[in-house]
Amino acid sequence: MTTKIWKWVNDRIPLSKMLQLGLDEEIPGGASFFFTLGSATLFVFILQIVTGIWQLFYYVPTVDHAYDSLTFLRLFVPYGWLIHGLHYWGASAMVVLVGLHMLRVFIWGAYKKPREMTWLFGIVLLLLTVGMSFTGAALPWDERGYWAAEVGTSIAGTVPFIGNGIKYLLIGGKMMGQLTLSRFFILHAAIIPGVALIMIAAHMIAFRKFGSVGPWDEDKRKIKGDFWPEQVSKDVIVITLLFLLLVTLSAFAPPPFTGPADPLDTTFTPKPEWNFLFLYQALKFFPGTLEVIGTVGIPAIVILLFVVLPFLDRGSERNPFKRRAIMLGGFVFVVLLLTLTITGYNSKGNIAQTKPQQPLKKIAVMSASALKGKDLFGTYGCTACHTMSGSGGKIGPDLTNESSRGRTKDWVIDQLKDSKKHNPQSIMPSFSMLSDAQLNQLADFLLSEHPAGTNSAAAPSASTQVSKAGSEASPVSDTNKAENNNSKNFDTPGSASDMVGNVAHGALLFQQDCESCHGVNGKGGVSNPGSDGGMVPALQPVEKKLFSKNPQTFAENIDKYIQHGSVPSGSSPALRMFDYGDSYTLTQQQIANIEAYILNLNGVNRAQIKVTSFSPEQYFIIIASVLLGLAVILALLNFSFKRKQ
Amino acid sequence: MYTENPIPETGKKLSRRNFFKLLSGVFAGFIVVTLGIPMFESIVGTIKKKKQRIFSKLTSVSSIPNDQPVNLPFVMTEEDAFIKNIQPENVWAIKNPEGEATVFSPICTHLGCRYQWREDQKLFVCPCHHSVFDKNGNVISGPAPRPLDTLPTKTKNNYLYVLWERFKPGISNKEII
Repeated sequence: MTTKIWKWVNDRIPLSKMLQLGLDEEIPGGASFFFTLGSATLFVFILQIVTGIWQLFYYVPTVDHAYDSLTFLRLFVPYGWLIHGLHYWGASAMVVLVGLHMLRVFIWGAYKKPREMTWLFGIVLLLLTVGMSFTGAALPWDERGYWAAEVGTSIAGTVPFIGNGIKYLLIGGKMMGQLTLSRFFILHAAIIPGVALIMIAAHMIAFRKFGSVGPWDEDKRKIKGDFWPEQVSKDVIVITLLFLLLVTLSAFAPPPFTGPADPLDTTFTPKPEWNFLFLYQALKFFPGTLEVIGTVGIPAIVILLFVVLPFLDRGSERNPFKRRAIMLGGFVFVVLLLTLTITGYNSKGNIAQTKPQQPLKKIAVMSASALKGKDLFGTYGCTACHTMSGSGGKIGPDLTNESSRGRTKDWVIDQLKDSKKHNPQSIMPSFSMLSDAQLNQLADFLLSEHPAGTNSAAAPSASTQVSKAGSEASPVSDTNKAENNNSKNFDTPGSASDMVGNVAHGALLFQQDCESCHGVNGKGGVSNPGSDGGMVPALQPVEKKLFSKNPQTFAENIDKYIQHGSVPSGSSPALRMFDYGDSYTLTQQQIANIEAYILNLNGVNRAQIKVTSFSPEQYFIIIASVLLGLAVILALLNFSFKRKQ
Repeated sequence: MYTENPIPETGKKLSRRNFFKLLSGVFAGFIVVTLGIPMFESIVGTIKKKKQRIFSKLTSVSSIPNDQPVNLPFVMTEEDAFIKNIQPENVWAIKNPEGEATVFSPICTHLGCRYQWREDQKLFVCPCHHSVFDKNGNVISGPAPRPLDTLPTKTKNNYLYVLWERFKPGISNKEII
């Protein structure tokens, strides 16, 4: 029956001949695991297409929903974690395999006549792979992808004369935004893979024309092997192991949730994906106006070298031991690439030479406690004697740079209570009538960073400071909102509670904005005179009524407080919770990060997978066992074959 | 499957070749199945997922007057996959002397207009076709085919919550849309 159908089909289209063309090939030297790299790359490319298309069932390329839609896929869709994980790790595998494949071709001298076109198509495919990697990273519209796109397009912008044109064309305007995401999406999901498919076809046609290059040793070349099924079975073994590796990585090392993209957030230090680390590290050697050498010059030279390689190295000798000069060149290149990547990986984020990074403290904005201290600074007449940021009296010392004098908080509090303790001649009045909390706040304010008198606030923090000042300028409306806990407003969580934030980034923000009241790591211990409890609530562990094992519910519970603030019950609480969301003191993205951190303090994973299907670990165990079982059966079969022979 | 082979083979070689073919087929099948099942599950899994019923907070039960309908505006959250829609809605609520609150959908059961409360007549009147209901939602006059639709409620910590639902207008049965 099948033979009949097969014949019927072949009478109409030459399927059998096409298969012969694809599979019947003699391999000089016999099948080899060295020759599996190209097939493995092709497999991962197909896997990327399949998982990429599958992600489109859920992902939407809009700035307001890209991150949430991906979160939905990863946490709420059965096996969404697997589909996204395979795509994420597949992208890395693709780069590694392309690199290894090229290296193999280089060592074997397979780029030489008559295979130059195969090599050139390969170079184009390498560039397309890099393009896929770059455009794909931006699509989640998370912190890492956003900043990678920002830095990457800025690198394109350093090309002389046409740089800005390229940059604006890539990002669809002068600023990153929705059009950037749309363009990256269409490049990643349609244009580049479309061109890649054509190029792969060309690469393979060119490859088939002259076949596998085989060993350089003439004696070994006399042994012949078949592509099908000998080489194919080796390819399949490598591909299966690769697939298992990708599943393992997806299950046990899922892509991080780096938090939704936040253009206003200056506390995130962007660092590129591992496959761009070499460039990131190389750029550090070219400061200032020389930067263009690193961004454009060197990559261009490297690509040019790749292109001219088959025309430079034209001898027919393929034995690498007899091509010492070219091998040495290749070796130096690989070592350089690996060294730059490793040092880049280990280096602390220090992104652009033209804009030296501010120390973290400078960027750090005032804590809530310090902001209250600022009020006190005004109310208690400190400015009558002291200058702060260019205004105030000259009787006492200028306090603008108090933070840089290396004084401890205790020292400052002692000074406020009794200045004669430090200097018996001091004429500063005692402020011992202030409560401990108020003294604390005042000290926090004095020890925080202040803009110099000329208002030359550090540029990156300007936007955040403005919003801080804005929230502070309207204490009345703040209080109204905060005290109105029973209003409907209070019951509505902000959009932050729907976003999966990043724990590490949240920890950083927590230190800046929350720690002064809620204690180090949210462990509490800060007194709040005038409140019923007498203490600021600890967040580790959080109050029972706020806790939930369901990360979404937990986030919503605490979100209301972070968004709208709250006043603790009690006669006159000295400290109250700020309305960080309503006052725009923190962005929703930042709040999402802080929430992820607080959940983490309480042992709840914000990015918990909520699906009814097998968990990643279960799935891994199942497929690993099945594979092991199949391998054992095949090994036994093979053994029995050999016995019969 | 491709079987034609122009090269004649010895029996020994055939078994070796067949083993390679078997191995390739088994492992390729393994990948197709272990990836195919999750891919299938990922698109059918969301069909099985029940839609979450989200109750919206109205007001404290004690703030609703006895025996007097009040209109309660509230903010409703609707979840649609990864999109959350927040939109304002309102309902009518009345509390009986025992303190139990009933919540009515503000939509007339006749053709879906929004009715009003006439304080002077103590009646709900729909402006579209003059359907008239009493304060307990019973039809007094007009074309309305059924009493006002009540909505599911729950009380937690003295707060009244409502589940927003819509019903088919114009028929005598209360049928959820």
